[in-house]
Amino acid sequence: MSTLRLALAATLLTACGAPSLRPELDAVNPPIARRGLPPLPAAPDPAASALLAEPLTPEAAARVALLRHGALAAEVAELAALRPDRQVAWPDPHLEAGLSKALSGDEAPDVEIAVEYPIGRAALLQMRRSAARQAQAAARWRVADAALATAQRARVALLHSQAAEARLAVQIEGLKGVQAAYAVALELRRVGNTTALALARERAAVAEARLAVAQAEAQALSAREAVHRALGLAGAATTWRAAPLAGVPAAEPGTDDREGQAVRHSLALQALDAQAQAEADRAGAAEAGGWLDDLAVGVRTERREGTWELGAMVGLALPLFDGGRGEGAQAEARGAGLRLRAEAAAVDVRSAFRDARDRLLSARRQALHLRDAVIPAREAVLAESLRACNAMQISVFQLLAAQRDLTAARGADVDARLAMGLAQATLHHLLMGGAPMEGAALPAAPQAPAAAADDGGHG
Amino acid sequence: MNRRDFMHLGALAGGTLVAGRALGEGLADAPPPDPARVLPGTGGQVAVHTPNGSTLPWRIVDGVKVGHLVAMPVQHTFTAGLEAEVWGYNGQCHGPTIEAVEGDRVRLYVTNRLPEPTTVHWHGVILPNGMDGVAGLNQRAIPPGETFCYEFPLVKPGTFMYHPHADEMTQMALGLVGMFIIHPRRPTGPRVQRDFALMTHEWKLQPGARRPDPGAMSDFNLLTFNARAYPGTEPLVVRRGDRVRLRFGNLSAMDHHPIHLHGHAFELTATDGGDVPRGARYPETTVLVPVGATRVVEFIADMPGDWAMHCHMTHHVMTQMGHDGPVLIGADPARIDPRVQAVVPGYMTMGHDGMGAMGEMAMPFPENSQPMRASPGPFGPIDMGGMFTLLKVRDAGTEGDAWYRHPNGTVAERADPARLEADGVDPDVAFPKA
Repeated sequence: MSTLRLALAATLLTACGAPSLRPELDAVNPPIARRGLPPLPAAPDPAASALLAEPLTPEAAARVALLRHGALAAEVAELAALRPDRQVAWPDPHLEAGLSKALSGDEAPDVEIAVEYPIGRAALLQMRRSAARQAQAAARWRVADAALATAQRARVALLHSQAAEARLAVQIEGLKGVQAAYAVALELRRVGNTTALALARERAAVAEARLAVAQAEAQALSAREAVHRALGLAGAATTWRAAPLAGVPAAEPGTDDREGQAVRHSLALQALDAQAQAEADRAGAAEAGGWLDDLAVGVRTERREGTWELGAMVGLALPLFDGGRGEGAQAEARGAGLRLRAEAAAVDVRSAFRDARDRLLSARRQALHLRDAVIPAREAVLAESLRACNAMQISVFQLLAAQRDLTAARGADVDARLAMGLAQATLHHLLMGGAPMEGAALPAAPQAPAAAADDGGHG
Repeated sequence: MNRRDFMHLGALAGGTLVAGRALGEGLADAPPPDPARVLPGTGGQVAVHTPNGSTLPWRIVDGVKVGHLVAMPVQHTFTAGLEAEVWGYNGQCHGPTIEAVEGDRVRLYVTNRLPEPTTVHWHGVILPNGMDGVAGLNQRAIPPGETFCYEFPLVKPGTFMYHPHADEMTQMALGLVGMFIIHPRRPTGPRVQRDFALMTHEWKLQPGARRPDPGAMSDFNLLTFNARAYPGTEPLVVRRGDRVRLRFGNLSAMDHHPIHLHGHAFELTATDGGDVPRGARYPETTVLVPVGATRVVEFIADMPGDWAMHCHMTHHVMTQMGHDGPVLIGADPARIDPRVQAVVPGYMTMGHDGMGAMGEMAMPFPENSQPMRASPGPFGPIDMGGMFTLLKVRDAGTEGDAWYRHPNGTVAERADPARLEADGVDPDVAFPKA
């Protein structure tokens, strides 16, 4: 049933909506395409299904979101309302007719017919359409920016989902470790070799580990739902699989100054510029409108006392008090505000770029350190612990503690790779011209894995 | 790999390794019991043999026996696969046995190649006070790089020792000890045909480490005769009927050692204080060798065979025994191993049937360690190590025999069911619950 509804909706969109959105799509898509992203489709794109059939990467998630996110399509549809010819139309002529007759006497009624046309407003039409075109351009930049934001939200959501699944695997591994310790304690207790206290400690550890797994499961489910929202997925489209969280890139990201590129590419800044230009045009139109808005010419004919008369008229408002100055001042004030916002936004872009670059460098180094130093060291500890356990120099509980230390290091590795992925995605987003986004910040810094507990009182 | 596979592999690989080690050390190819060397001018007394050790050579200068001890770091092998950085004298650990005769005048040069000052105390030797070797009390310590001279007459025979009396804890713990034997000019009592010197010692050497812990006060995990742990100990090979003298010294940090000899009874004939009067001697099979003392026992080796001799403190015959694990005896590995192996592949529960099988397993151990390893014997693995050696009593003509060849019917074996029945022994006998 839902498939049928979807097909119907697609048909309707294709038949009715899509042709009317073509100018908007043609205007919005070039900047998106120039950034390596798929153009927004006129209708849900089957390519999204192909992407969803493969293990989903952050970049694939971004593409899926652009191809099928409903909210983004709505923003495109709303652009149609801003077409200049719908904002500013040619003024209509004004027709006036009157008929009057004296209440006494037999004189024929007087007739009055006048036609006038507001030539002032017609003369201002191009100025006002120019302002409307700038406003429309600003809206298009904002929609393109919204597309980048949609893509970035998709990347971030998928990264969190990948990390949540990896954390869940780590927690399950941790649970297996404490379950193993509990199995040993249970058996030792069965044959009278350990105390109720030692067994209780192991049981408590298992109970806590189960809780941690349950929390990790909940986080993984929640993160998955966040992906559905970010990508606009529902129904059968929610059966996707996430690709594993990416490893550490081989090359360190360049530390050269690319803030300028981020600023030049910023769609939000271009939107603000266009909006400011629109306000400037509005101010100009308002100033001219002080004289011209009420300028009208017309012809008038009237029959008075049986005689037809023909005359012409010109109407003009004297801009003594208003004169459009208030409206113009408002537009200028908005324009000034927009220019100040643009300056502030540029500062934000530069700062966000530096922040993302620094976070990426730091997170990459942490991830490298975990991959090349901490985890191998913990693996060596576990290997040597096994040897020592074989030699009966340490207990099986100490061996399992070494295993938990390794698991904790792998958990820290997940956090570090998530931080790295988020920073990398943010940097990419900013360089493409996306605006700094709240909520895409790093999670808490990965904690150095604490050394596991001792042998729990068995030895 | 299941437990059975693991054990099988262990039996193959471990057996091969251990056999190779034993052959390498000459254990299974024990030297024939050549007649002991007789010391000239001592009434026919035989020279002391120090298994795994040596005797300090003398130069005679103007009638004075001149010897030279060099205290120095040494790379030492306790047994194959277990090496350590220790301190010793003249490139060996422990130091060479000093052997002289009552009435000799000895001049002993001591060169210090250690990183800290040292001295030598001639433990039990009667000598002038300034030669006693206590740093600060009797002399200034020998600085690194310097050579001091000790000279004194040997006025009293006996079994003595030597060791530093400067930073004693560190220097002795790292192996700087040796035996000092002074034969009587005119021996009394029955003449011995074999005379052995055995210094007992204890160390703490973590499996995988290469330097003993000189600060250890407990948990010693490596116990040695002449700084060797079985199977690295050289056996004591004697002829049947020999009168054998065993001279034990103990410069361990903390522990006395009850040395037990199988198959024979002996008498304590002397301590480092002097001879035990004949009337005060009584038969024993175990002699307690206290810390800082020597004990001399004598016996007639009249029982042929390969006899164990070892410290009877059971932990002292378990090389690098671990003590931190839980008690696993009685546990069922099937309830444990699958769970642990799920997170630590390669884990295998051990000790659930006792510790005896430990030595046969060929699992990976820490490098440079021999924890509780067994060595091959003629009937299977010998699971003792540490302060353990063999007394090989041989008849003439059988000297080259590696392991003792038992006469027929003299080795314990599986009981004959007919014999069991005839003797009224039921292996399945039940006992009331206590």
